[in-house]
Amino acid sequence: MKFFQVFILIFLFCFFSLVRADDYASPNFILRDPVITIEGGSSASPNFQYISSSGQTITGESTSTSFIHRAGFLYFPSIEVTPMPTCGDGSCNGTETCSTCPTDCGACPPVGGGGGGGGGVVIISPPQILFKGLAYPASKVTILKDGQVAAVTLTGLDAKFEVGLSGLSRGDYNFAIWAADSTGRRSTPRTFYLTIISGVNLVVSGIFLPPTISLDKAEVKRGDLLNIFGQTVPSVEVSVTISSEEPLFKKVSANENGAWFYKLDTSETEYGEHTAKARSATKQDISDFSQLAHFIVSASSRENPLQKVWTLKGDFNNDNKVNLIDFSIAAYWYKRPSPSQKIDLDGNGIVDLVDFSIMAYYWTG
Amino acid sequence: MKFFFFIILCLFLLITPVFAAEIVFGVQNQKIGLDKLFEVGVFINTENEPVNTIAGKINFSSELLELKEAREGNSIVNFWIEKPKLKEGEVVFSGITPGGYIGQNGYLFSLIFKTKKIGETIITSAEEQIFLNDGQGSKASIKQAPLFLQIEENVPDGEFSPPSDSEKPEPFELTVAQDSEIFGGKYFLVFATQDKKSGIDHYEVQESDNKQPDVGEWIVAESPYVLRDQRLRSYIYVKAIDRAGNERISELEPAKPLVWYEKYLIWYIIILGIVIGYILWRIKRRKLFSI
Repeated sequence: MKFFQVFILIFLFCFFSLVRADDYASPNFILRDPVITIEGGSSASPNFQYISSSGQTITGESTSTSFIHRAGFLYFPSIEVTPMPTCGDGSCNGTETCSTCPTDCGACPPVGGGGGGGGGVVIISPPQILFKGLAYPASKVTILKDGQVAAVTLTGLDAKFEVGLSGLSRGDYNFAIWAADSTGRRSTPRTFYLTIISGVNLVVSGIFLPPTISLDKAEVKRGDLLNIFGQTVPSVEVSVTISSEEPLFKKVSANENGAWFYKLDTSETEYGEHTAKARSATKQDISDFSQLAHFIVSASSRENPLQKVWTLKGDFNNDNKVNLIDFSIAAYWYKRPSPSQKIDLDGNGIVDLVDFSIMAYYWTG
Repeated sequence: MKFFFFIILCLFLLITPVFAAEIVFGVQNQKIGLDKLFEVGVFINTENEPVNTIAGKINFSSELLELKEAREGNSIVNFWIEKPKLKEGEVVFSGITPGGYIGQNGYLFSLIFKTKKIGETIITSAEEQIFLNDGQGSKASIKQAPLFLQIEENVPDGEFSPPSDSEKPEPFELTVAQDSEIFGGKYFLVFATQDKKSGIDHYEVQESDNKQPDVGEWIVAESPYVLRDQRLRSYIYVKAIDRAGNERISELEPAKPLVWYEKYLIWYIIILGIVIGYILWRIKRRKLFSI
């Protein structure tokens, strides 16, 4: 009977799945093993619907005349989606003037004098959706609409970008934004599912793309220095997290060009496989984590080829993009025998859904 | 012994179902009249992690229901590996969402059924495969949520009618590519667009020497499309047609256009000019001699 009881207990223990919580760090604190509440969901107003994927937990703000209560264990202002002022909304705001929007601003007063002619008012209608945010100084920001490039813009030296899209039908759209830094390293994309309604223009502001990250070695001799570097917004603080038995949290400041650099003393880590990731923080906001950079601490060192040649998984035709052409190549080989090694991304001998999932992750449009 | 059962009870209380995604169905009314058309929406719910690849099958009773069509306009799936279609009595589908989707009630597609017989039936998903947007192709755990339906003789609710759609499909680009891995290294054309209301019905392709598409020369095609003109000297036109019949045409100029002396028309004009010139010269000469 005892054996039976022990067996049942062991059997039940098998059903437990270990749930690992990622630690969250802000410029001021690290929260280890947080309990995550279900986030996301959708919010709707008469003018728009925002299906959220931003933030790490639900945060909220309650205000009274005497205090503001900011709820949630990691409160940061995040992506904000607001309807853009439009002509006819009853208030004279934004870029509206008496000449561009007499409905809201009233008729323009008569101008004295006479003569002259020609000219006229050019009314530039605002884009249906405007994206505003931070990437890297003088970098290229790409906006994808339903997986295809819809716009490309350049940031200023302050890393700010602003880009609008028009000509959209009414419906739900998958927008993704990514940037390439001065060396061609790519950010992870930020994705937004938004519903476009005719007559309502949206502004998506507060986009803060994560820093880029790279390593100078793929394998490093324990005790040697590993250079971790990338680019972000100028003069912000970058938090670097190194996975180890006891995770390491390091902080550096980006220079005036947004470049950041950290020398890791690998004697702080154990032998074996590790990852490094980084996130940036301004006084008001914090970015998502960068891509994971993998390295091995061992008895010898090996340079990181990815630092020299940036490669993308899923770029089958080597045009430095992962897009519809690569999708077509993969779709051609889907479930067919003997695909070439470069198309079989997981190396299981067949192009299957796993390969498509890897490709969708690295998608650039 | 009591302690042992207490431990077991505690363990059962501690076990919480962890799932990352579920495919759910939506229907206006679970009671449907006989010989009526009705729409079943297929949606995805995800929890904490975004997903980027979704595949599966939808099972239904062919004794009680007849599938009339599948509509995927406005889907969160941007590129279909297999568009939802009937295959051996079940609907199969697979597609990707670049960048991943996280949220509740993400619309995948709709199935339009016609009821055939009175009775109770279930529509359920099977062989679902949902992958996390983690760059590793990790599978998400899946929870099933079947839909129960009751087909009755008289149900007052109205029948499904397709939404009115007067908008063209979204603008799209055409790209010619070549890769030794497919079509024996031949040039092929890729294209994709969406129609947010009724969905894309099909595409038609035309390769032409003319700067305007010819009326009757369209061929029904899918992306990727192997070009007939492998010398890339033709104008390429692709027409996307939605389920309401709205059309949008995209075009691509020849990648390697003909130089002037390669165009037959130029030579016809030159030869015609020479002939006319010769005739005029002969006429003029005859007139001079007659004087």
